[in-house]
Amino acid sequence: MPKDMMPHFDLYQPDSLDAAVDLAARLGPDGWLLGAGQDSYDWFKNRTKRTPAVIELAGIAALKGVREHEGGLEIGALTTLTEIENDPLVQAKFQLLAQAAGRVASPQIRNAGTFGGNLCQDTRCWYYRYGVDCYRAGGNMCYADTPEGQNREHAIFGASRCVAVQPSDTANAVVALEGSMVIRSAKGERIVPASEFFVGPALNIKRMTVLEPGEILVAVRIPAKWAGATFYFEKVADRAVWDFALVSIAAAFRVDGERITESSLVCGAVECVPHRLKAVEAAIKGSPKNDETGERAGKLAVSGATPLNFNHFKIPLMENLVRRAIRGA
Amino acid sequence: MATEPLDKVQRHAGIDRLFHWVTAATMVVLLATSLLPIIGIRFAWVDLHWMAGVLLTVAIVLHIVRATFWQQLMVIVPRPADLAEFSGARPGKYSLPQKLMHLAWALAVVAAAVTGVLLMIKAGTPFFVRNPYVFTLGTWGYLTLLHDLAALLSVFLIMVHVYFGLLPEKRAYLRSMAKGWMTRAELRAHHRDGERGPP
Repeated sequence: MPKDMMPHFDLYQPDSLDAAVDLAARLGPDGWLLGAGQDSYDWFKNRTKRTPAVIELAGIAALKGVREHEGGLEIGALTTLTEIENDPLVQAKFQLLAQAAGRVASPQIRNAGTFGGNLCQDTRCWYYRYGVDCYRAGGNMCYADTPEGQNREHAIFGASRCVAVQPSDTANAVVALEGSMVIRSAKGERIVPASEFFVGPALNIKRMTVLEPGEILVAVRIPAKWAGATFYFEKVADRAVWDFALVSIAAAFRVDGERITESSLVCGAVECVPHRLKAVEAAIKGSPKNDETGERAGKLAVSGATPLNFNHFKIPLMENLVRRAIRGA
Repeated sequence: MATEPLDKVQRHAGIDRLFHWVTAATMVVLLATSLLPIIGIRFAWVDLHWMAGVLLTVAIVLHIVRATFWQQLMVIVPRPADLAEFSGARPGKYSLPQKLMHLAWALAVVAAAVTGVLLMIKAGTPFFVRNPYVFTLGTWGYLTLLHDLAALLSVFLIMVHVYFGLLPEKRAYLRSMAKGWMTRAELRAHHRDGERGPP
C-alpha cells in the first residue's frame, strides 16, 4: 500500500461546539478528533492508524483564544502554540507556559499546532509509531525494553510493560501550574485536574489521557495560584528546534527573600505522564534557592529511577535540570 | 446442665489451613487484578498481579513438597476404587467429588502459575531481564491463551467451591478449614471413621 498519501475517511467539519459534541457522541471511537493534525496526519499517512471518520475542530471559534477566568486564565484547546507563546496575558501571568509553548517543535508547527493537540498527542516511541503490535497498539509485547531495544528516549520512571514517555512540552507546564482540563461530551462538562488528565500504562496502556471516545478537550484553565511566580523552563533535546525533549523541566517557585516558600516542579520525557517531583517540593520548602539546595534536590529527584539499556544518561541530565531550575540556571 | 465435650477429630493441620487461605486470598487478588480492568475499573494492576502470583507460586511449591514428602499424597488422588461411592460406600478422608475438585484446582493453578512465571519474562519484573525473544510471538500467544483459560477455569471453580462450602450440610468442612476440626459425628456422616482413605 502506498504511504505518505492520505487514506480515505469521512470528513466532518462542525462549526459549533454543540455540533462537534453531537458528532463525537454519534461516531464514538470511529470519530477521530482533529486539531491541526500535526500528530494525526503522521498516523494516517503512515497507515499505522486508520479511522473511518475525522471530526475537524478547526472551524469552532469557541475553542480558540485566551481569556481571563477567576484570576487565572482559560485557554481554548484550539489556540495555536504561537498564540500562547506571544499572548500578553500568558506572558504576564504564566511565563512558564509561554516558554514551554515556544519550545515546541519548530515555528511552522507552532503556527499551526494547537494547545489541545499538543496536550493530547500520542507518544513518540518509534516501535509503536512504526506500527508494531506492541502493548500500546493492542498487542502483547514491548519491543523497546528488550536486550537490544533502542530506548534512548524512553522512560526512567513509571514504566509498566510499556516504557513510552509523554512527549508534550506544554503538558509539563500545565501540570506545574496546577491547571485543569475542561472536557465536554454529550453527558455534559467535566473538569479534570491536569495531574489526573494524563495516564500511564499501569492505568491504561492504550491511551495517554483520560479522554474517552465522544469527549472533547475544549479548554485548559490555569488558576491564579502561580500567577507572577518565579518560573524556570528548560528542555534538552538532540536539536535546538523541531525535536522532542530528552528531558525537560517546568518549575514554579514562590520565594520569600532567599527562601523557597512553595514550589511546583515537573519533569518531562522521563515517564508516560508529566513527572511531578512532590518529594523534592516538600524537601526544598523553606530552603534557600541556591546551588546547594539544587544539588540536594537533584539527587532526591532521581531516586527510584529505573533506566533502560540506552537511557542511563537521563539520570544525571534530570538531576542537573532540577539543580539548574532551583538555583535559577 | 453440663454440656458433653465435643468429640473433635482433626481434619486439617494449621499449616494446611494456612496454605488454603493464602491460596484463596492470592486467587482473589489475581482474579480481581486481571478482570476488573477489563470491565473498565482502572487501577495499577500489574504489580499487584505478579506479586500475588509469586506468592501463590511459592505456596504451591511448598504445598507440593509437603504433600509429597510429609503427607499421604494418594489420599487426594482420584482412583478407580472411589467409584464404589456410587454404590453407597463411604469415602476415606476425601470423597470422589472432593478429589476431582482438588484435581481441577491443581490443573488450573499449576497451569496459571507456570504460564504466569513465563509471562513475567516479558512483562517487566525484578526477577528476569526483560526479554520477549526467548519465545516466538506464537508461543507467547499460546502461553497467554493458556494463562487466560486457567484463569477462567479458576473463576468457575471458585463459584462451585464457594457454593458448596456455604451449603448448610457442608458447613462442617468449612469449619474444619477454619478451625481444623470436625466432630466425630460429622465425620461419620460422610466418611469412614479412622481411615484416611485408600493408600
